[in-house]
Amino acid sequence: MTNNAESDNGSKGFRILPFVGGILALYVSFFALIPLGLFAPLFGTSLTDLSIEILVIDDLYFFIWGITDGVTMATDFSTFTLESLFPMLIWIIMVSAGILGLVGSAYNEDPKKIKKKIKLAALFIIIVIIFYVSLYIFYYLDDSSVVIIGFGFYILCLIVPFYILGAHRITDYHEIE
Amino acid sequence: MAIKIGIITGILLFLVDFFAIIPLGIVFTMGINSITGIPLYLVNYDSVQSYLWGTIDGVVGSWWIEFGETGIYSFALIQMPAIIACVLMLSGSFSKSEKGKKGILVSVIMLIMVLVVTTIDMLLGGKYLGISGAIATTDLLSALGMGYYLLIACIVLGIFTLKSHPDNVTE
Repeated sequence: MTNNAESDNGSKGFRILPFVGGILALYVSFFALIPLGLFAPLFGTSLTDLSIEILVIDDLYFFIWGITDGVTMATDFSTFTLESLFPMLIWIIMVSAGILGLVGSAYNEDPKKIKKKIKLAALFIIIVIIFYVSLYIFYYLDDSSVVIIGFGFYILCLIVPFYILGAHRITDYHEIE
Repeated sequence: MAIKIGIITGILLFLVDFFAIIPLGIVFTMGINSITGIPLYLVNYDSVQSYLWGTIDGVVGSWWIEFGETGIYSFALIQMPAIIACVLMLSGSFSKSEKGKKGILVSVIMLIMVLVVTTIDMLLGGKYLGISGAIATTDLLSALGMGYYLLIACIVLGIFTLKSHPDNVTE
């Protein structure tokens, strides 16, 4: 009997699903858009782009890192006030989810620990999704507001199955032993 | 565990040592820019923002050395220890020997020294922080920036790294 089950328990090597989930989580946490048609002569400039806001409420764009109307910032982290505390917490949760996903994809250790990390990362993303869904429902029920779901929300929903599948694959291999 | 916390602490220290902001809302118009960011100043007083590496007065940024003799003291007491602390924290996190643990200990002590120097200077005149006067204790909370809080966080994380650092095991 070979030790295939031990070497294939999913705890060794590189795990692509949590890695992609981690990269996506960090991208949504730091970037405002996905550049399309990158323009070589002026490094880093794009001809067009896909904005990754989570929600658009009455011409206000809600990102993970803040709220903007396209001209000015409605919230930012330059002042440590009670108002900026909650958005900051959401941002920290998202960044933690991204880092946990990356750590869970690369480190070789006990499969249970890796699974816990990836599941914790998935839980963090679900918390953020619940927050934005609550916000959406609140403003949707308010007839005077126009609410649109942004592309960033779909990216958040995409990250969760990446993490869950990534954790599930480790469980399967571990149970074969 | 020590390695992971130590690396995160080292990276945070690196950011505070050399960066003005952590960029958020990165866009790709006319090069790579950001819409906003988390400013990493230690203190903001009288429209001067003081960082570990220098100051920004409105739009103009200055490194400590440009301030003359006072700036050299600021460099020696604030920036240099913070850079050394960053290097020691990162190298100590990757090392499992007693040397690595000592490096992390020295790093934490240096960070505490930087914190004490900046706090005392803030309250006594701001000479080495490049600000124009002492900050009253009532205005202190509103003047302190994310860089100051990150420094405290790095000290706390450094202590955790020390406690969970594996000792030298020779077999």
